[in-house]
Amino acid sequence: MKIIIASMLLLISSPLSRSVEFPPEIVKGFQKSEFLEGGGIAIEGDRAAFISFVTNNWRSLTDDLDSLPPSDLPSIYPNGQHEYSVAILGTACETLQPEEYVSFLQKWVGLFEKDQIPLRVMENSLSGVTNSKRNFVSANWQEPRIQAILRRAIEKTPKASTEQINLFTGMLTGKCAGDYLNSQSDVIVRPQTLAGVKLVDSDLGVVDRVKRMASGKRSLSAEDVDSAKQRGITAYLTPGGSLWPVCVAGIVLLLALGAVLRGKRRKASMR
Amino acid sequence: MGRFGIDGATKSTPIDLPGLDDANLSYIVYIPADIELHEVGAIPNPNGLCVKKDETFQAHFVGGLDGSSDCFNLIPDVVTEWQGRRVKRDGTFEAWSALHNASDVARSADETIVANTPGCFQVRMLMTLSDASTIEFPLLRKQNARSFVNGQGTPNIVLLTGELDYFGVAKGRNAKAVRGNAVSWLGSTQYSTKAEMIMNPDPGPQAVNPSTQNSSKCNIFVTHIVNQSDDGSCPADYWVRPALWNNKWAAPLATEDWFTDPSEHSFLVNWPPTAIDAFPAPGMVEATNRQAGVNAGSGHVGIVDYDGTWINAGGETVNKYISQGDVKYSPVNLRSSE
Repeated sequence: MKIIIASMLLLISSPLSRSVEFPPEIVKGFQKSEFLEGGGIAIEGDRAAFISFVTNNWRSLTDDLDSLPPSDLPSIYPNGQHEYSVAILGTACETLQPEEYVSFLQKWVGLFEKDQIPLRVMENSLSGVTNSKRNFVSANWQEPRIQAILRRAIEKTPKASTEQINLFTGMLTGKCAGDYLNSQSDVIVRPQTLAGVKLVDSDLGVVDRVKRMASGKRSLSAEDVDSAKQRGITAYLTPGGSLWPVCVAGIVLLLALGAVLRGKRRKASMR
Repeated sequence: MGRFGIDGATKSTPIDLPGLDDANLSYIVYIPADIELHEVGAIPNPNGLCVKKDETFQAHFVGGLDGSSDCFNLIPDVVTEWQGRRVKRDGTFEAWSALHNASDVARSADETIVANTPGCFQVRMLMTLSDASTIEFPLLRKQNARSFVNGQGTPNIVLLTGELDYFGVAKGRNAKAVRGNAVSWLGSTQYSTKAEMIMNPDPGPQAVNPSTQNSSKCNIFVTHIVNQSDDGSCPADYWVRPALWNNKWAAPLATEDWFTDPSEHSFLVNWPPTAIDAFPAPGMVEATNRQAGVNAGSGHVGIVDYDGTWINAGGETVNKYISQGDVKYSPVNLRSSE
C-alpha cells in the first residue's frame, strides 16, 4: 500500500505531471516569432493569446526549458534555435506586472547560474527588450531583490565578458539610472517602478536635479517637484518644462514692486 | 560522340561537340562556368557592384579549366544576352529585360553595360545554342555577404553563398557615397542597443542629450552616415525639436522623420520622399513607421545596399539582415538624395 501511495505521490510531483501542453498556435508562436532589429519582438499569430499563455504558465515553462518548441529560424549559434525560443519566452515575460517580473528574474538568474540560459538572454532580460520593461532593472536598482539579482548575474558572468559586467555593475550602482534620468525628458514614458521605489540615481539626488532645473538644463516631473517640496525646496513646473517664464514673471514682479516703493518714497519726500 | 557540359548554370548542361566525335568514346566533360560583374578595369568587389547612373560596368562569362572563358569558344553558334530585373520595395520583381541594346546580342563572352536606370538588379546571361535551346546563367553570390546575421544569430538566407546576387545603380554621386560609407560600418557594434553614445558633449541649456544606452540607434546611424558621406550638397538635418522632448533641441532625426511626409520634426529638404511606386536604389534611406510590421512596436530605418538589403544598425551590429519585402519591416517609405 505504501509503495502505491509513494508511487502516486511521485507521479504527481514528477516534472512530467507539471509539463505544459502547447496548443498548435503557441507552438507556432515559439517557432516563428522573431526579434526585430529596431527593438521589440514580432510574435507570430495571435499576440494576445501567446502573451496570455506565457504569462499564465511561465513558472512551469521555466521549470522545463527543454520542452519549449524550438525556433524554426536558422541560427549560426550552436543550440541557437532552442536558445531563440528561450529568448522569446524571456521577452514575452516582460509583460508581467512589476512584482511578478521580479519573481521571474529571480528564477531566470537561477537558470543562468545553472547554464540553462545564455548570457545574451540574461542580458536581454536585465536590459529589457520591449517598452514595458526597458530600463526596469536600472530604474529599480535600489530595491534589495533587484540588487541580489544583479549581484548573482555579475558573479556568474565570465570575467572576460567585460562589456556585460560593466553594464550589470552600472545597473547595480545606479549609474545606468543616472545616465537615463539625466538625459530623458519628463514627458517620456518612464520605466515601471516597484512599490516604494523612486527614480533616483546614486550620484545625482533630487536636490541637484532641482538645481539643474533652475539652470534650465532639464525639467522635472510633478513627482520630482513634490519630492523637492518635501525637502523644503520650492520648484515650479511650467508647461514647457522650463523655469524661465517663472523667472521672467519674478523679475517683472520685483521691478513693479521696486517702482511702487520708489513712488511711495517720492510721495513721502514731497510731503 | 564526345560531349562536354558547362556546370554552374541553372543545371549542368551537356553540349554536343562534333569536333570531338570519336566512335570509340562516349563521355561528357563538365567544365565549371559562371558569370561575374565588375567595374571597368577592376576585379569583382566582394561587397558587390554598385555604380551610379550612366556609369558603365563589365559582365563576363567565366568558364574554363583555368578560370578563363575559353570553354565559351568551344560552343558553336552561341548567342548571348544579358538581362536584369529590378527588385520592388515589396520584394517582388519587374520582368526580365535586356541590359544592353538588341544589336549587342551577339556571340560574346564579355559585355560592357551602361547603367541607365537606378535600382537593385538581379542579373542573368542567357546563352542560346544552335539548336535554339537556352541555358541560363544567373549571377550568384561567390561568398556569404558581410554581416548577414542579426543580433540573435539568424542569417538572412538570401545572402548566403550560391544565392542570387545583384548589382546596384545609385541615383547619383552622393547616393553612391552614402551607400559606400554605410558598407564600411558593416559588423560594427558602435551603434548597438547597449552602447552608450554621446550626441553632443555639451548640448547647452536649451538642448537635450538623449539617453542612448539601451535604445535602438538605427536613426543615429543613418543620420551620421548621411552627413559623413555628403559632399556638402545634400546634408540632412541633425538636431531636431520634437514635442516628445518638450520642443527642445534634441537627438538626431528619428525614424519617423524619414518615414513621414512631411517629416515629423524636420523638412529634410535634401532628402525628399520618393514616389510611392519608386524602386529602392543604393544609398536611399528606407524606413518603417512606429506601428510597422507584425505586432511591432517601433519603427526602423536603414540605407539601401546594392542588393536591396538594408544596411541598418540592429540590436547588436550594423548588418544586412533585412531584405526588401520583409513583412516585419513593412510598409516602407524611401527618401533619396541626388
